[in-house]
Amino acid sequence: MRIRRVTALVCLAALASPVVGSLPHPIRDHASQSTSSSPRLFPLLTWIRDGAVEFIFGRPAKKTEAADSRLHLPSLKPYADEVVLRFNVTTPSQEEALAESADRLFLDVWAATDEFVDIRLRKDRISSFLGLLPESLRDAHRTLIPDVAAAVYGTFPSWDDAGRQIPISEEAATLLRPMTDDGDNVFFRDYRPLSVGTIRSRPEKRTLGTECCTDSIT
Amino acid sequence: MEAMFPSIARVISIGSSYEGKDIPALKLGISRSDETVHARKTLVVTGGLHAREWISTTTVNYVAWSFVSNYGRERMITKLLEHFDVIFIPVMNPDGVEYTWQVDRLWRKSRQHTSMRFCRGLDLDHAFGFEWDKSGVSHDPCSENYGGSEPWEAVEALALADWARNQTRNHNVRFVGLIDLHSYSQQVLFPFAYTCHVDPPNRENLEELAVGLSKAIRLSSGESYSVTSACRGAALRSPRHISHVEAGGGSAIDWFFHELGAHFSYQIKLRDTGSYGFLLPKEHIIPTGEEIFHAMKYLGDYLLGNNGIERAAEDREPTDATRDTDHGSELRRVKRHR
Repeated sequence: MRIRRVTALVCLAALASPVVGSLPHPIRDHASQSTSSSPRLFPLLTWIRDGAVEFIFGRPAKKTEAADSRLHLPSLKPYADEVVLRFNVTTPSQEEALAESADRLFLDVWAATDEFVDIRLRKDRISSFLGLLPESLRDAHRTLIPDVAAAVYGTFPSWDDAGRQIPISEEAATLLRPMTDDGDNVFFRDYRPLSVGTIRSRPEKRTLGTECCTDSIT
Repeated sequence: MEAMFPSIARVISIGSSYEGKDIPALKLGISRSDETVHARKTLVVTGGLHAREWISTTTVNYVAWSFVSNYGRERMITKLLEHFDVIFIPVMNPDGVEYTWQVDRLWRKSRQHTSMRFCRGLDLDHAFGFEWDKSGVSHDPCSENYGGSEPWEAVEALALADWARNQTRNHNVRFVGLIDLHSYSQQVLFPFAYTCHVDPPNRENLEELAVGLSKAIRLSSGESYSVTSACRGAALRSPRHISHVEAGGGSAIDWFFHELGAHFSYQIKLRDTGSYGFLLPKEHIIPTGEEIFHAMKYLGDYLLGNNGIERAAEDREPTDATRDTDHGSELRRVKRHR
Protein backbone atom coordinates (compact mmCIF):
# COMPACT_ATOMS: atom_id res chain seq x y z
CA MET A 1 0.00 0.00 0.00
CA ARG A 2 2.73 2.42 1.00
CA ILE A 3 4.84 1.51 -2.01
CA ARG A 4 1.82 2.06 -4.26
CA ARG A 5 1.19 5.44 -2.70
CA VAL A 6 4.80 6.48 -3.08
CA THR A 7 4.74 5.38 -6.70
CA ALA A 8 1.59 7.34 -7.27
CA LEU A 9 3.10 10.42 -5.65
CA VAL A 10 6.16 10.17 -7.86
CA CYS A 11 3.86 9.98 -10.89
CA LEU A 12 1.92 13.01 -9.70
CA ALA A 13 5.09 14.99 -9.06
CA ALA A 14 6.34 14.21 -12.53
CA LEU A 15 3.02 15.26 -13.90
CA ALA A 16 2.73 18.44 -11.87
CA SER A 17 6.23 19.82 -12.26
CA PRO A 18 5.87 21.15 -15.79
CA VAL A 19 2.79 23.12 -14.87
CA VAL A 20 3.89 24.55 -11.56
CA GLY A 21 7.28 26.07 -12.12
CA SER A 22 9.04 27.72 -15.02
CA LEU A 23 9.00 25.58 -18.12
CA PRO A 24 11.98 24.29 -20.05
CA HIS A 25 11.17 25.57 -23.53
CA PRO A 26 12.54 29.03 -24.15
CA ILE A 27 10.12 31.14 -26.09
CA ARG A 28 11.61 32.41 -29.30
CA ASP A 29 8.63 33.83 -31.07
CA HIS A 30 7.21 37.04 -29.65
CA ALA A 31 5.89 38.28 -32.98
CA SER A 32 2.22 38.42 -32.22
CA GLN A 33 2.38 39.98 -28.81
CA SER A 34 5.00 42.60 -28.34
CA THR A 35 5.65 43.13 -24.69
CA SER A 36 8.85 44.72 -23.50
CA SER A 37 9.82 47.82 -25.32
CA SER A 38 13.45 48.28 -24.27
CA PRO A 39 14.93 45.12 -22.77
CA ARG A 40 18.22 45.52 -21.00
CA LEU A 41 21.12 43.98 -22.84
CA PHE A 42 22.79 41.79 -20.23
CA PRO A 43 19.70 39.91 -18.95
CA LEU A 44 18.73 39.19 -22.54
CA LEU A 45 22.18 37.86 -23.39
CA THR A 46 22.17 35.82 -20.22
CA TRP A 47 18.84 34.33 -21.14
CA ILE A 48 20.00 33.48 -24.65
CA ARG A 49 23.21 31.99 -23.32
CA ASP A 50 21.37 29.90 -20.74
CA GLY A 51 18.93 28.69 -23.35
CA ALA A 52 21.77 27.57 -25.57
CA VAL A 53 23.60 25.88 -22.71
CA GLU A 54 20.46 24.10 -21.62
CA PHE A 55 19.79 23.00 -25.15
CA ILE A 56 23.24 21.45 -25.47
CA PHE A 57 23.93 20.18 -21.97
CA GLY A 58 20.47 19.79 -20.51
CA ARG A 59 18.84 21.63 -17.61
CA PRO A 60 21.09 22.92 -14.89
CA ALA A 61 20.80 21.74 -11.30
CA LYS A 62 17.80 23.06 -9.42
CA LYS A 63 19.70 25.47 -7.20
CA THR A 64 20.74 27.61 -10.12
CA GLU A 65 17.17 27.98 -11.32
CA ALA A 66 16.37 30.33 -8.49
CA ALA A 67 18.81 32.92 -9.74
CA ASP A 68 17.40 32.69 -13.23
CA SER A 69 13.76 32.45 -12.25
CA ARG A 70 13.28 36.20 -12.46
CA LEU A 71 14.22 36.13 -16.10
CA HIS A 72 11.30 33.84 -16.88
CA LEU A 73 8.66 36.17 -15.51
CA PRO A 74 6.79 38.04 -18.19
CA SER A 75 7.21 41.78 -18.36
CA LEU A 76 4.68 43.75 -16.35
CA LYS A 77 4.73 46.72 -18.71
CA PRO A 78 1.73 45.61 -20.79
CA TYR A 79 -0.37 45.72 -17.65
CA ALA A 80 0.82 49.07 -16.42
CA ASP A 81 -2.08 51.40 -15.61
CA GLU A 82 -4.64 48.74 -16.39
CA VAL A 83 -7.76 48.12 -14.35
CA VAL A 84 -10.66 45.71 -14.42
CA LEU A 85 -14.11 47.25 -14.27
CA ARG A 86 -17.38 45.51 -13.51
CA PHE A 87 -20.47 46.78 -15.27
CA ASN A 88 -23.85 45.84 -13.85
CA VAL A 89 -26.19 44.90 -16.64
CA THR A 90 -29.93 44.67 -16.31
CA THR A 91 -31.13 44.41 -19.91
CA PRO A 92 -29.99 42.49 -23.00
CA SER A 93 -29.54 45.77 -24.85
CA GLN A 94 -27.02 46.84 -22.25
CA GLU A 95 -25.15 43.61 -22.73
CA GLU A 96 -25.12 44.13 -26.50
CA ALA A 97 -23.87 47.68 -26.10
CA LEU A 98 -21.04 46.49 -23.89
CA ALA A 99 -20.16 43.71 -26.31
CA GLU A 100 -20.07 46.04 -29.27
CA SER A 101 -18.02 48.68 -27.51
CA ALA A 102 -15.56 46.13 -26.14
CA ASP A 103 -15.20 44.69 -29.64
CA ARG A 104 -14.60 48.08 -31.16
CA LEU A 105 -11.78 48.88 -28.75
CA PHE A 106 -10.40 45.30 -28.74
CA LEU A 107 -10.84 45.03 -25.00
CA ASP A 108 -10.35 41.91 -22.96
CA VAL A 109 -13.67 40.75 -21.56
CA TRP A 110 -13.00 38.69 -18.46
CA ALA A 111 -16.48 37.53 -17.65
CA ALA A 112 -20.03 38.05 -18.79
CA THR A 113 -23.10 36.84 -16.99
CA ASP A 114 -26.72 37.91 -16.93
CA GLU A 115 -25.87 40.35 -14.17
CA PHE A 116 -22.43 41.75 -14.84
CA VAL A 117 -19.65 42.11 -17.36
CA ASP A 118 -15.99 42.41 -16.33
CA ILE A 119 -13.67 44.22 -18.71
CA ARG A 120 -9.93 44.89 -18.53
CA LEU A 121 -8.70 48.15 -19.99
CA ARG A 122 -6.16 50.89 -19.57
CA LYS A 123 -7.13 53.77 -17.35
CA ASP A 124 -6.63 56.30 -20.10
CA ARG A 125 -9.19 54.50 -22.26
CA ILE A 126 -11.94 54.44 -19.69
CA SER A 127 -13.46 57.73 -20.73
CA SER A 128 -13.50 56.84 -24.43
CA PHE A 129 -15.03 53.46 -23.58
CA LEU A 130 -17.71 55.05 -21.42
CA GLY A 131 -18.43 57.46 -24.22
CA LEU A 132 -19.41 54.56 -26.45
CA LEU A 133 -21.89 53.22 -23.91
CA PRO A 134 -25.49 54.22 -23.34
CA GLU A 135 -26.21 56.66 -20.55
CA SER A 136 -27.55 53.92 -18.28
CA LEU A 137 -24.21 52.14 -18.19
CA ARG A 138 -21.92 55.06 -17.66
CA ASP A 139 -22.38 55.08 -13.91
CA ALA A 140 -23.19 51.40 -13.54
CA HIS A 141 -19.63 50.30 -13.01
CA ARG A 142 -17.09 49.93 -10.29
CA THR A 143 -13.44 49.02 -10.12
CA LEU A 144 -12.77 45.36 -9.44
CA ILE A 145 -9.01 45.41 -9.79
CA PRO A 146 -7.36 48.83 -9.57
CA ASP A 147 -3.88 47.60 -10.47
CA VAL A 148 -3.66 44.70 -12.89
CA ALA A 149 0.15 44.77 -12.96
CA ALA A 150 0.32 44.22 -9.23
CA ALA A 151 -2.24 41.46 -9.40
CA VAL A 152 -0.29 39.75 -12.17
CA TYR A 153 2.92 40.02 -10.22
CA GLY A 154 1.19 38.58 -7.20
CA THR A 155 0.41 35.34 -8.94
CA PHE A 156 4.01 34.41 -9.59
CA PRO A 157 6.04 32.50 -7.05
CA SER A 158 7.90 34.53 -4.50
CA TRP A 159 9.85 31.56 -3.18
CA ASP A 160 12.03 29.18 -5.12
CA ASP A 161 12.24 25.44 -4.64
CA ALA A 162 15.05 25.80 -2.14
CA GLY A 163 12.95 28.08 0.06
CA ARG A 164 14.73 31.30 -0.81
CA GLN A 165 12.79 34.43 -1.57
CA ILE A 166 12.91 35.43 -5.21
CA PRO A 167 14.06 39.06 -5.29
CA ILE A 168 11.71 41.57 -6.80
CA SER A 169 12.76 42.56 -10.28
CA GLU A 170 13.75 46.12 -11.01
CA GLU A 171 10.88 46.48 -13.43
CA ALA A 172 8.39 45.26 -10.87
CA ALA A 173 9.82 47.56 -8.24
CA THR A 174 9.41 50.48 -10.61
CA LEU A 175 5.91 49.62 -11.78
CA LEU A 176 4.50 48.64 -8.43
CA ARG A 177 5.53 51.66 -6.41
CA PRO A 178 2.71 52.83 -4.16
CA MET A 179 0.31 55.28 -5.64
CA THR A 180 -0.37 58.38 -3.64
CA ASP A 181 -3.35 60.02 -5.19
CA ASP A 182 -5.92 57.48 -6.33
CA GLY A 183 -8.96 57.51 -4.12
CA ASP A 184 -9.90 54.00 -5.19
CA ASN A 185 -6.55 52.59 -4.20
CA VAL A 186 -6.87 50.36 -1.22
CA PHE A 187 -4.30 47.90 -2.41
CA PHE A 188 -1.38 48.28 -0.01
CA ARG A 189 1.51 47.08 -2.00
CA ASP A 190 3.97 47.68 0.78
CA TYR A 191 2.61 44.63 2.58
CA ARG A 192 3.63 42.29 -0.20
CA PRO A 193 3.80 39.35 -0.48
CA LEU A 194 0.21 38.62 0.44
CA SER A 195 1.03 36.05 3.05
CA VAL A 196 -2.30 36.46 4.69
CA GLY A 197 -4.04 33.89 6.80
CA THR A 198 -7.74 33.49 6.81
CA ILE A 199 -9.98 34.27 3.95
CA ARG A 200 -12.87 36.37 5.08
CA SER A 201 -16.30 34.92 4.81
CA ARG A 202 -17.72 36.17 1.56
CA PRO A 203 -21.43 36.64 2.33
CA GLU A 204 -21.09 39.92 4.18
CA LYS A 205 -18.89 41.33 1.46
CA ARG A 206 -21.48 40.54 -1.15
CA THR A 207 -24.27 42.02 0.99
CA LEU A 208 -22.34 45.24 1.24
CA GLY A 209 -21.86 45.17 -2.50
CA THR A 210 -18.12 45.52 -2.26
CA GLU A 211 -15.72 42.97 -3.57
CA CYS A 212 -12.57 44.90 -3.41
CA CYS A 213 -9.20 43.27 -3.72
CA THR A 214 -8.67 43.80 -0.03
CA ASP A 215 -10.88 40.83 0.66
CA SER A 216 -7.84 38.74 1.27
CA ILE A 217 -5.77 41.30 3.12
CA THR A 218 -6.21 41.11 6.85
CA MET B 1 0.53 -10.72 -10.39
CA GLU B 2 -1.38 -7.63 -11.52
CA ALA B 3 -4.45 -8.81 -9.64
CA MET B 4 -2.37 -9.22 -6.48
CA PHE B 5 -0.71 -5.79 -6.71
CA PRO B 6 -3.00 -3.47 -8.56
CA SER B 7 -1.44 -0.10 -9.18
CA ILE B 8 -3.75 2.78 -8.65
CA ALA B 9 -1.90 5.47 -10.53
CA ARG B 10 -0.38 5.66 -13.96
CA VAL B 11 0.86 8.58 -16.01
CA ILE B 12 -0.53 8.47 -19.51
CA SER B 13 -0.41 10.77 -22.51
CA ILE B 14 -3.48 12.27 -24.13
CA GLY B 15 -1.53 13.49 -27.12
CA SER B 16 0.50 16.51 -28.18
CA SER B 17 -0.09 20.22 -28.37
CA TYR B 18 0.29 22.41 -31.43
CA GLU B 19 3.89 23.17 -30.49
CA GLY B 20 4.60 19.52 -29.82
CA LYS B 21 4.38 19.46 -26.05
CA ASP B 22 3.02 16.39 -24.39
CA ILE B 23 -0.41 16.53 -22.74
CA PRO B 24 0.05 14.25 -19.72
CA ALA B 25 -2.66 12.82 -17.53
CA LEU B 26 -2.87 10.80 -14.34
CA LYS B 27 -5.08 7.76 -14.46
CA LEU B 28 -6.36 6.47 -11.16
CA GLY B 29 -8.23 3.26 -10.73
CA ILE B 30 -7.90 -0.35 -9.76
CA SER B 31 -7.48 -2.66 -12.69
CA ARG B 32 -9.47 -5.78 -12.16
CA SER B 33 -9.06 -8.90 -14.21
CA ASP B 34 -12.76 -9.73 -13.96
CA GLU B 35 -13.76 -6.62 -15.86
CA THR B 36 -13.16 -7.82 -19.37
CA VAL B 37 -16.89 -8.25 -19.95
CA HIS B 38 -18.18 -4.91 -18.77
CA ALA B 39 -16.82 -1.62 -20.01
CA ARG B 40 -14.73 0.28 -17.53
CA LYS B 41 -16.65 3.32 -16.34
CA THR B 42 -14.44 6.39 -16.53
CA LEU B 43 -14.59 9.96 -15.29
CA VAL B 44 -12.39 12.69 -16.76
CA VAL B 45 -11.32 15.85 -14.94
CA THR B 46 -9.71 18.55 -17.05
CA GLY B 47 -8.05 21.86 -16.32
CA GLY B 48 -6.06 24.46 -18.17
CA LEU B 49 -8.13 24.62 -21.35
CA HIS B 50 -7.90 28.35 -20.97
CA ALA B 51 -4.31 29.24 -20.28
CA ARG B 52 -4.78 32.08 -17.80
CA GLU B 53 -7.05 30.08 -15.52
CA TRP B 54 -4.21 28.77 -13.41
CA ILE B 55 -6.40 27.74 -10.51
CA SER B 56 -8.00 25.10 -12.73
CA THR B 57 -4.69 23.33 -13.19
CA THR B 58 -3.71 23.44 -9.51
CA THR B 59 -7.16 22.17 -8.57
CA VAL B 60 -6.93 19.17 -10.90
CA ASN B 61 -3.56 18.32 -9.37
CA TYR B 62 -4.79 18.84 -5.84
CA VAL B 63 -7.87 16.66 -6.31
CA ALA B 64 -5.74 13.94 -7.90
CA TRP B 65 -3.37 14.13 -4.97
CA SER B 66 -6.28 13.93 -2.54
CA PHE B 67 -7.66 10.86 -4.23
CA VAL B 68 -4.31 9.11 -4.12
CA SER B 69 -3.77 10.07 -0.50
CA ASN B 70 -7.16 8.86 0.63
CA TYR B 71 -7.26 5.63 -1.26
CA GLY B 72 -7.39 2.87 1.30
CA ARG B 73 -8.40 5.32 4.01
CA GLU B 74 -11.78 6.58 2.89
CA ARG B 75 -14.18 3.83 2.02
CA MET B 76 -16.01 5.79 -0.65
CA ILE B 77 -12.87 6.77 -2.51
CA THR B 78 -11.52 3.26 -2.35
CA LYS B 79 -14.79 1.92 -3.70
CA LEU B 80 -14.98 4.61 -6.36
CA LEU B 81 -11.56 3.71 -7.70
CA GLU B 82 -12.51 0.08 -7.73
CA HIS B 83 -15.53 0.72 -9.89
CA PHE B 84 -14.34 3.70 -11.93
CA ASP B 85 -11.22 5.03 -13.53
CA VAL B 86 -10.65 8.73 -12.98
CA ILE B 87 -8.40 10.52 -15.46
CA PHE B 88 -6.93 13.83 -14.36
CA ILE B 89 -5.65 16.12 -17.12
CA PRO B 90 -4.22 19.25 -15.46
CA VAL B 91 -3.15 21.17 -18.57
CA MET B 92 -5.09 20.65 -21.79
CA ASN B 93 -3.40 23.72 -23.27
CA PRO B 94 0.31 23.50 -22.44
CA ASP B 95 1.35 25.95 -25.14
CA GLY B 96 -0.98 28.59 -23.82
CA VAL B 97 -0.01 27.95 -20.21
CA GLU B 98 3.66 28.26 -21.02
CA TYR B 99 2.90 31.52 -22.79
CA THR B 100 1.28 32.82 -19.61
CA TRP B 101 4.42 32.03 -17.68
CA GLN B 102 6.79 33.49 -20.25
CA VAL B 103 5.07 36.36 -22.03
CA ASP B 104 1.47 37.27 -21.25
CA ARG B 105 -0.08 36.18 -17.97
CA LEU B 106 -3.56 36.91 -19.35
CA TRP B 107 -3.39 34.80 -22.49
CA ARG B 108 -6.47 32.58 -22.91
CA LYS B 109 -6.28 30.61 -26.13
CA SER B 110 -3.86 28.07 -27.54
CA ARG B 111 -0.84 29.16 -29.58
CA GLN B 112 -1.85 27.70 -32.88
CA HIS B 113 -1.31 29.82 -35.96
CA THR B 114 -4.40 31.17 -37.65
CA SER B 115 -5.10 32.76 -40.99
CA MET B 116 -4.11 36.09 -39.52
CA ARG B 117 -0.41 36.40 -38.90
CA PHE B 118 -0.62 38.62 -35.84
CA CYS B 119 -3.43 36.81 -34.11
CA ARG B 120 -2.59 33.38 -32.86
CA GLY B 121 -4.54 30.93 -30.83
CA LEU B 122 -7.82 29.06 -30.76
CA ASP B 123 -10.26 28.97 -27.88
CA LEU B 124 -10.20 25.26 -27.06
CA ASP B 125 -13.63 25.33 -25.49
CA HIS B 126 -15.11 26.43 -28.79
CA ALA B 127 -13.19 23.97 -30.91
CA PHE B 128 -14.97 20.66 -30.34
CA GLY B 129 -17.11 19.28 -33.10
CA PHE B 130 -20.54 19.10 -31.50
CA GLU B 131 -22.78 21.95 -32.69
CA TRP B 132 -19.69 23.84 -33.71
CA ASP B 133 -21.31 25.37 -36.74
CA LYS B 134 -24.17 26.59 -34.58
CA SER B 135 -21.70 28.61 -32.60
CA GLY B 136 -22.50 32.20 -31.90
CA VAL B 137 -18.90 32.87 -31.24
CA SER B 138 -16.47 34.79 -33.27
CA HIS B 139 -15.03 33.84 -36.62
CA ASP B 140 -12.42 36.51 -36.16
CA PRO B 141 -9.02 34.96 -35.42
CA CYS B 142 -8.20 37.90 -33.19
CA SER B 143 -11.19 37.23 -30.94
CA GLU B 144 -10.67 35.58 -27.58
CA ASN B 145 -13.51 33.20 -28.43
CA TYR B 146 -12.19 32.16 -31.83
CA GLY B 147 -12.81 28.45 -32.28
CA GLY B 148 -11.07 27.99 -35.60
CA SER B 149 -12.23 28.11 -39.20
CA GLU B 150 -13.77 24.64 -38.91
CA PRO B 151 -14.47 22.10 -36.17
CA TRP B 152 -11.46 20.28 -34.74
CA GLU B 153 -8.94 22.74 -36.12
CA ALA B 154 -7.54 23.09 -32.61
CA VAL B 155 -4.88 20.42 -32.18
CA GLU B 156 -5.41 19.94 -28.47
CA ALA B 157 -9.18 19.53 -28.74
CA LEU B 158 -8.72 16.97 -31.47
CA ALA B 159 -6.11 15.15 -29.40
CA LEU B 160 -8.51 14.83 -26.47
CA ALA B 161 -11.32 13.64 -28.70
CA ASP B 162 -9.12 11.14 -30.53
CA TRP B 163 -7.82 9.77 -27.29
CA ALA B 164 -11.34 9.46 -25.85
CA ARG B 165 -12.70 7.75 -28.95
CA ASN B 166 -9.77 5.36 -28.95
CA GLN B 167 -10.50 4.51 -25.34
CA THR B 168 -14.10 3.64 -26.09
CA ARG B 169 -13.41 1.72 -29.28
CA ASN B 170 -10.27 -0.18 -28.38
CA HIS B 171 -9.97 -0.21 -24.61
CA ASN B 172 -13.44 -1.06 -23.41
CA VAL B 173 -13.98 2.29 -21.73
CA ARG B 174 -17.30 3.96 -21.07
CA PHE B 175 -17.10 7.66 -20.18
CA VAL B 176 -19.65 8.64 -17.55
CA GLY B 177 -18.69 12.27 -17.08
CA LEU B 178 -16.36 15.14 -17.83
CA ILE B 179 -15.61 17.68 -15.12
CA ASP B 180 -14.06 20.60 -16.98
CA LEU B 181 -12.55 23.12 -14.58
CA HIS B 182 -12.26 26.79 -15.43
CA SER B 183 -12.29 30.12 -13.64
CA TYR B 184 -13.71 32.44 -12.51
CA SER B 185 -17.16 33.20 -11.13
CA GLN B 186 -17.91 30.21 -8.89
CA GLN B 187 -20.54 28.40 -10.90
CA VAL B 188 -21.48 24.80 -11.59
CA LEU B 189 -22.65 24.68 -15.20
CA PHE B 190 -24.48 21.78 -16.82
CA PRO B 191 -24.93 21.10 -20.55
CA PHE B 192 -25.69 22.33 -23.06
CA ALA B 193 -23.41 25.29 -23.65
CA TYR B 194 -24.36 25.77 -27.28
CA THR B 195 -27.99 26.62 -26.70
CA CYS B 196 -30.55 27.47 -24.06
CA HIS B 197 -33.35 26.07 -26.19
CA VAL B 198 -32.55 22.37 -25.94
CA ASP B 199 -32.43 20.55 -22.63
CA PRO B 200 -30.27 17.51 -22.09
CA PRO B 201 -32.53 14.49 -21.63
CA ASN B 202 -31.48 14.02 -18.02
CA ARG B 203 -31.67 17.67 -17.12
CA GLU B 204 -33.44 17.10 -13.83
CA ASN B 205 -30.83 14.65 -12.64
CA LEU B 206 -28.04 16.88 -13.92
CA GLU B 207 -29.40 19.88 -12.12
CA GLU B 208 -30.07 17.97 -8.93
CA LEU B 209 -26.53 16.64 -8.89
CA ALA B 210 -25.16 20.10 -9.65
CA VAL B 211 -27.00 21.50 -6.67
CA GLY B 212 -25.50 18.69 -4.62
CA LEU B 213 -22.01 19.58 -5.82
CA SER B 214 -22.60 23.19 -4.92
CA LYS B 215 -23.81 22.22 -1.49
CA ALA B 216 -20.79 19.98 -0.94
CA ILE B 217 -18.59 22.97 -1.73
CA ARG B 218 -20.50 25.18 0.66
CA LEU B 219 -20.30 22.64 3.46
CA SER B 220 -16.57 22.36 2.85
CA SER B 221 -15.50 25.98 2.74
CA GLY B 222 -18.50 28.26 2.94
CA GLU B 223 -17.98 29.36 -0.65
CA SER B 224 -21.11 29.74 -2.70
CA TYR B 225 -21.19 28.32 -6.24
CA SER B 226 -24.31 29.06 -8.23
CA VAL B 227 -25.89 26.45 -10.48
CA THR B 228 -27.05 27.21 -13.98
CA SER B 229 -26.98 26.00 -17.55
CA ALA B 230 -23.73 26.42 -19.42
CA CYS B 231 -25.64 28.29 -22.11
CA ARG B 232 -25.72 31.19 -19.67
CA GLY B 233 -22.02 30.95 -19.05
CA ALA B 234 -19.50 33.62 -19.61
CA ALA B 235 -19.51 34.32 -23.31
CA LEU B 236 -20.26 37.87 -24.24
CA ARG B 237 -22.52 37.80 -27.21
CA SER B 238 -21.58 40.49 -29.64
CA PRO B 239 -24.48 41.45 -31.90
CA ARG B 240 -22.28 40.85 -34.92
CA HIS B 241 -21.84 37.24 -34.01
CA ILE B 242 -25.23 36.24 -32.73
CA SER B 243 -26.81 33.50 -34.75
CA HIS B 244 -30.24 32.07 -34.08
CA VAL B 245 -28.60 30.08 -31.35
CA GLU B 246 -27.01 32.30 -28.82
CA ALA B 247 -24.34 30.83 -26.68
CA GLY B 248 -21.08 28.99 -27.18
CA GLY B 249 -20.94 25.99 -29.48
CA GLY B 250 -18.05 23.59 -29.71
CA SER B 251 -17.61 23.13 -25.96
CA ALA B 252 -15.90 20.14 -24.40
CA ILE B 253 -18.76 19.23 -22.07
CA ASP B 254 -21.32 19.28 -24.88
CA TRP B 255 -19.19 16.96 -26.96
CA PHE B 256 -18.51 14.55 -24.13
CA PHE B 257 -22.16 14.58 -23.16
CA HIS B 258 -23.63 14.10 -26.60
CA GLU B 259 -21.02 12.14 -28.52
CA LEU B 260 -19.62 9.93 -25.79
CA GLY B 261 -22.73 9.65 -23.68
CA ALA B 262 -20.94 11.06 -20.64
CA HIS B 263 -24.18 12.10 -19.01
CA PHE B 264 -22.73 13.65 -15.90
CA SER B 265 -20.62 16.34 -17.48
CA TYR B 266 -20.16 19.72 -15.92
CA GLN B 267 -18.10 22.81 -16.32
CA ILE B 268 -17.13 24.23 -12.95
CA LYS B 269 -15.93 27.82 -12.80
CA LEU B 270 -13.74 28.07 -9.74
CA ARG B 271 -12.83 30.98 -7.45
CA ASP B 272 -13.20 33.83 -7.17
CA THR B 273 -16.16 36.07 -7.94
CA GLY B 274 -14.15 38.99 -9.24
CA SER B 275 -11.85 40.34 -6.57
CA TYR B 276 -8.85 38.90 -8.40
CA GLY B 277 -10.48 37.02 -11.24
CA PHE B 278 -7.89 35.05 -13.15
CA LEU B 279 -5.13 36.52 -10.98
CA LEU B 280 -6.14 34.53 -7.95
CA PRO B 281 -3.50 34.69 -5.21
CA LYS B 282 -1.72 31.47 -4.41
CA GLU B 283 -3.34 31.33 -0.99
CA HIS B 284 -6.49 30.14 -2.71
CA ILE B 285 -4.86 27.09 -4.20
CA ILE B 286 -5.38 24.73 -1.30
CA PRO B 287 -8.82 25.94 -0.18
CA THR B 288 -10.09 25.73 -3.75
CA GLY B 289 -8.59 22.29 -4.15
CA GLU B 290 -10.22 21.18 -0.92
CA GLU B 291 -13.68 22.36 -1.82
CA ILE B 292 -13.58 20.76 -5.25
CA PHE B 293 -12.25 17.56 -3.69
CA HIS B 294 -15.38 17.56 -1.55
CA ALA B 295 -17.51 18.12 -4.62
CA MET B 296 -15.79 15.23 -6.37
CA LYS B 297 -16.44 13.00 -3.39
CA TYR B 298 -20.10 13.93 -3.57
CA LEU B 299 -20.05 13.11 -7.27
CA GLY B 300 -18.37 9.79 -6.61
CA ASP B 301 -20.93 8.97 -3.99
CA TYR B 302 -23.69 9.77 -6.42
CA LEU B 303 -22.16 7.67 -9.17
CA LEU B 304 -21.86 4.77 -6.76
CA GLY B 305 -25.63 4.83 -6.46
CA ASN B 306 -26.29 6.73 -3.29
CA ASN B 307 -28.70 9.13 -4.95
CA GLY B 308 -27.41 12.14 -3.15
CA ILE B 309 -28.70 11.07 0.22
CA GLU B 310 -26.81 13.15 2.67
CA ARG B 311 -25.04 10.77 4.94
CA ALA B 312 -21.34 10.44 5.42
CA ALA B 313 -20.04 7.56 3.31
CA GLU B 314 -18.40 6.04 6.37
CA ASP B 315 -21.75 5.72 8.14
CA ARG B 316 -23.45 3.97 5.32
CA GLU B 317 -23.54 0.22 4.90
CA PRO B 318 -21.63 -0.68 1.77
CA THR B 319 -23.92 -1.32 -1.10
CA ASP B 320 -23.25 -2.85 -4.43
CA ALA B 321 -25.89 -0.76 -6.15
CA THR B 322 -23.90 1.30 -8.59
CA ARG B 323 -25.18 3.94 -10.93
CA ASP B 324 -25.53 1.25 -13.58
CA THR B 325 -29.24 0.68 -13.03
CA ASP B 326 -30.22 4.33 -13.12
CA HIS B 327 -27.69 5.01 -15.81
CA GLY B 328 -29.02 2.22 -17.95
CA SER B 329 -32.57 3.49 -17.74
CA GLU B 330 -31.36 7.00 -18.50
CA LEU B 331 -29.51 5.79 -21.52
CA ARG B 332 -32.59 3.99 -22.72
CA ARG B 333 -34.55 7.21 -22.29
CA VAL B 334 -31.86 9.13 -24.16
CA LYS B 335 -31.95 6.67 -27.01
CA ARG B 336 -35.70 6.99 -27.31
CA HIS B 337 -35.24 10.74 -27.57
CA ARG B 338 -33.04 10.20 -30.56
